[in-house]
Amino acid sequence: MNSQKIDSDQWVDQYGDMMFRYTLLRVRDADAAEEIVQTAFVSALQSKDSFQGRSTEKSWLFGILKHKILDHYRDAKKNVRLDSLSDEDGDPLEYAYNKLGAWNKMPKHWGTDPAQAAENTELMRVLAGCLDGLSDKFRRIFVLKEIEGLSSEEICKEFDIQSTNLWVILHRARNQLKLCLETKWFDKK
Amino acid sequence: MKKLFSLSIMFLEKFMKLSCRDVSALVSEQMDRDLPFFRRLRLKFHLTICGACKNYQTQLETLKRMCASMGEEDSAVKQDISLSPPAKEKIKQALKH
Repeated sequence: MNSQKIDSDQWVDQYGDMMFRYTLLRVRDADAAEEIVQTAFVSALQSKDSFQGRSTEKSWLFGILKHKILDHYRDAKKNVRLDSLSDEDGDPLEYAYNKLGAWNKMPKHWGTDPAQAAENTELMRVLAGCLDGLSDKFRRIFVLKEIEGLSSEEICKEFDIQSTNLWVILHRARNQLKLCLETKWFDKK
Repeated sequence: MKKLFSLSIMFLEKFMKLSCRDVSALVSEQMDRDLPFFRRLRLKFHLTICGACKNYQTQLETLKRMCASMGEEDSAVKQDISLSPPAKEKIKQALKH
């Protein structure tokens, strides 16, 4: 950009889809995702002078996009009470243990190591589908922690959640995703 | 002396003992914070003797690794999805004002 005029049409063509996918993974709702991408582009255009070529244009745009996604989470938290657990938020593994707390059905080895699994595009798509099966509250908190990489402290502070509640939510979300991956993938192999 | 020995074994067993249900919660919690020393010790002890819980831990680690990689900017996860042409047009228009 340095002193060149920005061709905003070309911007949208070059980065639009990438940014839309990135956002959709985090907010699920396509209309909201479009809106966020648009806001990010507009705000990038307004602050284009702050872009000094220290980073690539792409990472600069994604930096702005990340902020807009967090803003969306902040607005949306008004609609979802995050610091409470209702009945439907129960532990999906509740029946996995006997009365003594031992496994009824032993967890099996998935036959893949973490690094291998992360390279398997097909499996990752299955996981993205499983993510969409989480409730709004669980999805949002899980995404912030495991996909956005925010710390537990940041999430608790941002959403007024007790840390014990956060651990329970994350544990249940992980269990739900684990079961979903087994049903849709590992048990079929 | 013998009694003291068996008593301390009993104490050790009771102290170290966690159910698999407790362990699964701790395995997850350990991903979100540093556990207090003795709890960490008990967890470690359980995981060395319980293959099922060890598998559970590997499963959660796999999930974690996959999520981190999914979060990258050019992750291929939603590769088949694009902005619709009208949406693109709308954004282009918004940038002209």
